[in-house]
Amino acid sequence: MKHNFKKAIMKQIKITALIGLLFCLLLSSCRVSLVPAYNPDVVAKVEQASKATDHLYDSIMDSPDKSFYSFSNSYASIHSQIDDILILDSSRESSKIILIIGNDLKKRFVKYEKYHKDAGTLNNSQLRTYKDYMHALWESLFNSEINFKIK
Amino acid sequence: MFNIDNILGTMKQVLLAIFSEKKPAVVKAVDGYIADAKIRLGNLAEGALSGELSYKFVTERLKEEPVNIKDQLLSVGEIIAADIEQVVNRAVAVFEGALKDSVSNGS
Repeated sequence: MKHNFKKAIMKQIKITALIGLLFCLLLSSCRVSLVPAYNPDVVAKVEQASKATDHLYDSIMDSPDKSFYSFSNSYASIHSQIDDILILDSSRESSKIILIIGNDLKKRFVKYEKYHKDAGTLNNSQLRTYKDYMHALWESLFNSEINFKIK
Repeated sequence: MFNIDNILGTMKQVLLAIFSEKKPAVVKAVDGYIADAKIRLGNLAEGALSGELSYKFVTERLKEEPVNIKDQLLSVGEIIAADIEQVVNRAVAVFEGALKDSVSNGS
């Protein structure tokens, strides 16, 4: 009788432990990941590409030769920097918002590049406007990357 | 053509009505957007008045401004999402801790 009672208690402890373990597993799956982890490498890349974009438009504005083909290499370099950032971001968990901003940025850069290519040349007001409008999206992307440091 | 101060003043009211003024990071982001937009739209207006920017060019850029607003707000939304993530995970950790205690106590 005593042996049966001990067995029943052991069984009860095992069931409680099992239920506890199941609860812990269930709660672990409740942990949320709404934003990607802060990544200083991505932040550095965004900062670098943003500066390169500003520099591109400043260089064209300062140059007497504003033809597209004089700056096609700089355009190509920024293209690959944007692609690098998008590849890095797409491999991160919960990076949906960052990817929306990154894709808007890429679309705009490609559009402005096409305008320059099609027109052959641009005046300084157009270039300053493109610089301002690209800067707006770089700022949003940078903010969304740096915001994770705040949390 | 357009009154930048009026547009941006209304914009600031709208943004801060949606996102609590009590959250400094959000207010900072909204203020940053307003300051940048003022420079951007000011340069656009200057270019239009000098005749260097065509009506078509200015209209195209103004049509792009909502994308700037949307992306700036999304980056602000990330601050809020990061806070929600932290709160939810802390709450889950509290439950986990309580469960571990109850299991180790055998109760």
